[in-house]
Amino acid sequence: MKRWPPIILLAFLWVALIVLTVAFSHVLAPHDYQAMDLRARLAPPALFGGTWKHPLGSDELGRDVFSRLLASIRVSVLVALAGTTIGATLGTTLGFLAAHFRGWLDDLVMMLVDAQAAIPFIIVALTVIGFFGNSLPLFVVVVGLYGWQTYARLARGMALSVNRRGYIAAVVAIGARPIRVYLRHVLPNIAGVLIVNATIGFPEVVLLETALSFLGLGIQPPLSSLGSMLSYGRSYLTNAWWIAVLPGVVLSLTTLAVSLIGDWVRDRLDPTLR
Amino acid sequence: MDFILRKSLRALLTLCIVVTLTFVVLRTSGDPAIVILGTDATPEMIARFHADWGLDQPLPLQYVHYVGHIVTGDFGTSFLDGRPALTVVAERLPNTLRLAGLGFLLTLGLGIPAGVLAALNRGRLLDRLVVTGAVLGHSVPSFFLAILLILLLAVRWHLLPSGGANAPEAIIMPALTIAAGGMGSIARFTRAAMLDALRQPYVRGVLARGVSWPNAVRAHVMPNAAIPTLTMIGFLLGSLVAGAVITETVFAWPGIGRLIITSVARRDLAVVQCIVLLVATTMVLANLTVDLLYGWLDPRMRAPAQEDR
Repeated sequence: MKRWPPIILLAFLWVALIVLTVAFSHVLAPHDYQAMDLRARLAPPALFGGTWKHPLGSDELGRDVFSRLLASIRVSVLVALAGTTIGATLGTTLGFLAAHFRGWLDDLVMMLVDAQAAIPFIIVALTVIGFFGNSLPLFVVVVGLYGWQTYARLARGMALSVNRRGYIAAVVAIGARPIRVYLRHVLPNIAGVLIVNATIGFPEVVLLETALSFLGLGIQPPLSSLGSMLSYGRSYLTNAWWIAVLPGVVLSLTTLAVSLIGDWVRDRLDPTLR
Repeated sequence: MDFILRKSLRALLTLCIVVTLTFVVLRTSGDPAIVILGTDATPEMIARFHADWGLDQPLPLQYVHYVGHIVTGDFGTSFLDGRPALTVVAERLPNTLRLAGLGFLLTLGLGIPAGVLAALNRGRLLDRLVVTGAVLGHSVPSFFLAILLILLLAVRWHLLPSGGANAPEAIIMPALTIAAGGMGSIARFTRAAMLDALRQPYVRGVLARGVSWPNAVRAHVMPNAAIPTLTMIGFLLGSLVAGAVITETVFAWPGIGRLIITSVARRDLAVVQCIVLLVATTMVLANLTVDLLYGWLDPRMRAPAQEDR
């Protein structure tokens, strides 16, 4: 076992912190994230001349920025997790279907993969939200559509090569149905690669969600995401920088930590990349 | 010749898929007459629209009509503006081209040299700085970078206007923001391509023949590293479009990126559809150009793809 580089340890530490926040944001938050305190509006963070009542300051309605930050982290991470799960499931399923049936279905899936790869996803997301209107379930599905084509391509390619192995021929010969073959025998063999793909793609899903929320087309109030916090914090840059800067820092550190870990895991699994 | 034909057919096919998907979205999201004309349209307007776009006919015929309208450049009328959607979009297009063009030049002009220098100084301080910068540029979301720039350059130091397109220097911050993310990825990619080319036996070969190191790098390493980098430039265009949407909104830059956001928010769907098709066409043409350039630079690419069949 090689020693872990310190930067990777820090990245894991940060991710652990985020996971704890997502799990316990209600317990950790000193205030209700929607509670207004009109007498303490735009209070600066404790280290910048404020009081410890609002450790990271308050916003224009006197809502506690620390509590809002915790609630926003929770929403952003959960939406991105749900999105990643949807994208991975959809893409893997389509990839398996293409690999199993071949023929026109295979061509159709690969054509959709190419079309998706040719168009910036934010445009697709904006179109869907524009035509169907915005609601939380639809928004999660839109976020989930992001990156499906990477899973489809991987799942198809690897299923094609795994299918040629002897043990697959063996389980088919003893009468296993296709669903059983793919779920019990093919999937476990390629899950590692799919998980690495999900880890590398996760920061991009977070960025998509926060970007859409930042543009006012994602998470709607009273819910709050890191993107929507940044968005309204923009109006107070002259007198309350902390409303926009703090969620931005959390967001940047999170995407940085996850992509460092993703790259590191990929390099460890594939020594030829070194 | 066969190569060009194959790639062009593929591009055309992708465009057909996009148009078909837009049609599906348009037809499944409610009555397109109301979607395009707005909810306050009169019944006569709706009836005329139905007849115009052939919505009283069976679906396959509707599809033919739809494609006919799109091909002749009729994208419907912006209900916020009252003018044809294409006119509204065309008016904003030069601003976006100016911003994206400058952003693209910055991305390539700073990203490629950074990657080349990093590869030539592998493991030294310069290399580490470039790699760290590239990872940071990739992780910091463009809207946060934009806010930091506004906070420092506009609010704190009053160097640049925080938005709009009135002053000539107003383009600096949006262009930097748009360039930052792509610069990181192109630097990383160029570095990897250069390192890969440097490792090839022919480099040792030309050095052994007495070619000087700078000449070997210029004439043998860089051209070979240019080929993979070119593919990356194709992908960059996609990130430029995505970047334009966010950057134009933050900096109140009057281009099509901001237009699509306001149009989506107010459901001015004729304009949204027009922008989507415009972006898709641009992207497909750009990818086609990259593919053709690729084939021209690297003859190996002209052979039919060896797929895992």
